Amino acid sequence: MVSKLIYPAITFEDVWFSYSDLEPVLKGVNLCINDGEVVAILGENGAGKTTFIKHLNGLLKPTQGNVYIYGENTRSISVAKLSRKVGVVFQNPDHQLFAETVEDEVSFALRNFNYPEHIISLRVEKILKMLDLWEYRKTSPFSLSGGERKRVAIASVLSYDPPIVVMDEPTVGQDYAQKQKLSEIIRLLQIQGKTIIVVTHDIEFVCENFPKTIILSRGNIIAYDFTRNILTNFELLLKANLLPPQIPYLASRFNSIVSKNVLYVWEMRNELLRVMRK
Amino acid sequence: MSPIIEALNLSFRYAGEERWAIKSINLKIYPGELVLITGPSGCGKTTLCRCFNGLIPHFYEGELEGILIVDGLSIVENKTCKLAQRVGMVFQNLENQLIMLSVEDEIAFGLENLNLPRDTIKERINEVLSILGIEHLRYKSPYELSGGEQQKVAIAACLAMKPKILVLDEPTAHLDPLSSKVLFDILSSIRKRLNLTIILVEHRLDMVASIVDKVIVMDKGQIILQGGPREVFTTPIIKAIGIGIPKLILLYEDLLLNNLKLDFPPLNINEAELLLRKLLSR
Amino acid sequence: MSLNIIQGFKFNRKNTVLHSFDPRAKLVYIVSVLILSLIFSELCPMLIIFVSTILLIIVAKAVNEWLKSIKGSFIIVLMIFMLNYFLLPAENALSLSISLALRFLTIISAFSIFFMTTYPENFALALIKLKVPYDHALAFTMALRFIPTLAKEAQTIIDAQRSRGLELESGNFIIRIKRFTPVFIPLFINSFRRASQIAEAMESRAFGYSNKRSYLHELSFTTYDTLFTLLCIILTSLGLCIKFYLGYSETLVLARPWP
Repeated sequence: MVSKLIYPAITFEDVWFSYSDLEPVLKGVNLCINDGEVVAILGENGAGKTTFIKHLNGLLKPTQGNVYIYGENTRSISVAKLSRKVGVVFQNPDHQLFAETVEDEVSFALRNFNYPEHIISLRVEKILKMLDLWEYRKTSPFSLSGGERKRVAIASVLSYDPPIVVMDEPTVGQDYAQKQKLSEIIRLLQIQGKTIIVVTHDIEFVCENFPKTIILSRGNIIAYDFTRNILTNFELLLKANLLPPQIPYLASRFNSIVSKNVLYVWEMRNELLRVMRK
Repeated sequence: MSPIIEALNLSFRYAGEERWAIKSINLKIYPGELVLITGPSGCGKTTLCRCFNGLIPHFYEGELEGILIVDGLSIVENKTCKLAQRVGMVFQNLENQLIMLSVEDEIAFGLENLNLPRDTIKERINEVLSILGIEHLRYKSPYELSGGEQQKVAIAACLAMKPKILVLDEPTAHLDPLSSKVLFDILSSIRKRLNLTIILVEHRLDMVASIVDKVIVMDKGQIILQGGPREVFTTPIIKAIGIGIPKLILLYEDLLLNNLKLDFPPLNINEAELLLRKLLSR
Repeated sequence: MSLNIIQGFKFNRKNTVLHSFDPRAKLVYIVSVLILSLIFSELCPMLIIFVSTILLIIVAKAVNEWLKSIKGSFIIVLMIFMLNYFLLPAENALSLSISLALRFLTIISAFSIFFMTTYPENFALALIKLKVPYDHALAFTMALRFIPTLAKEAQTIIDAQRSRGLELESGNFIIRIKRFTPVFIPLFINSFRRASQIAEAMESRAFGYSNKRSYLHELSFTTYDTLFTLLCIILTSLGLCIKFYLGYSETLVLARPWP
């Protein structure tokens, strides 16, 4: 607990990484994410987002440089031990679901970490209720819908209560209602004081849920700032091959009269009303 | 003009399931139209797509009711392999639709199945590679390509068979926004050039709103709304279905609530800019 | 390391004489190398065969890839050599174990030449020409096509389960196999799903339209192919003659310049 107070949640120190003798995927990443931050990572496909994530729980170790989780070097701890601090939810739930029932699936990690049975059942109940999955506890995960399977995958990581939660592209293949549910989950985790890192392409999803955003481009972090500053900086977005969200883009067409950092529909409306009142 | 696709009370239930995946679908799609189908997960979009080229009822078994005529052919009497020359199908999963070891062979696969002469195959390969601007990928393997490139190859492989209709089932689900935009730009350019009818299933309404002619909204296996995008996106009940309504439409409605009426609901930035300027100059 | 071995068996699109040879001619070559390197165990003929494969690899402009895969299999070669050297009671244990190690190297090099210079689709066509049904040949190409995809998927699943605390490295053999269950199940289920999606995509592209099909690629057995094949057959026959008719040591005597 002491270490949690002194050290930032995640520190990257000049991290380079390359698969065998190919061109490096990460090229000197320096980063510090404090405990309790809620951060989105944006970047085009191939920018190195997945490689970045795999460094967080030690699945990959830097070719050069160091990654620290609460001050501990990922080189010196096993993946299993790191995973208790950094819960990673992979993109496709079908790459991890295997158990006969939702309950078994969600208790898998707890059993791997040798939790006693009575605690396991308490944790499983708590998390399934939190994610609206309690009624499915005895069903096979394979008979659930895509959105529900995604939530089981999330539950199976949240069950052991890691202080850092990482999600890779949680909105892929999810419809509007399921995205709303994901937003709710992220908000709940935020209230619990967790450090949350989500990789996504969904710029509107970022707008609505994340105070801060990192932009990863060609293996480097080219920005880490408040989401509003990033999504209204088109030069930066262009550099990372990202498309600006519609409302700020529209606002930029009126940059002589409308405030520069408009992000939401209601802000645009208020700006227009203000201009018209003049 | 007569419709190129016409469904009359079309319903389908997968073998072993109680629920009808689609129920009493009636629709008409005319030649040259670009139609967007959207709706929440499990609303029956994919099932409907599978009907267009006869995967239902020939590949997926179950109970089919009603009539679906595609380019003059009934899907009940014509197998997918026969309909393939009229309806091209692009899938959501990028990798599993590319089965050969090079882009060239991938495009050739369908043509070889049709037993076309070698010269025709070569001609068609060159043609579609240039239409999609992917000549440089000719000898690459599918797994060496980026997601956007894979989807272009899948489209090329369909176009080589000279279909009149192209069905794309969530083609951008695994693509980043920029590659998706590139794909949509390609679709709106080839439709006129090749006189294609395109059916597009999508969640990213922001990006496609301005290129489609018609929007079909489905929920629980049924068609809830259909019509022009401006009309459909501003229909009040669409909010209850839970689809991501384009932000510009939301702005239009928000302004309306504040007694500011734009001339029509904007579908892209340029339209919105024009309308807002008009409003401001009032 | 394991990936490096594959390097030497992956098709390389290059423009060399060997690339232009008909796969059937190259099959004859492989068979020749197999026969010759299996009937001789003496160092001298083994060296000759080995050097000839090296020459072909140079012609195929594939030295780098070949070296990588040789490096990858170095341990096996070393093991063959050591085992024979220490276990063989024979007088000439050294030369014999060198030639046995060379035999292994020669054979994998010959296969490496074949796969590095033969476009898999052409190999499938050759199979069809040799009366293998189209479906089987297609299955072969598709298997090659999906190996990288499957490998990637397996890695992702392993990563996902390790992230949930699954430990794959520790424990004895039985325990380890058991621990792989959470990896195997998603892999199987995804493979079934994949198979169905592939089939769907194939039907959508008119697979099964007619009994006849045409082919984009064309195999032509040129004069060069005939010459290459003939050369292989002649050399093999010569080798067989020496081994079984003339006898190896007698041939050496014959070959010695008259005093």
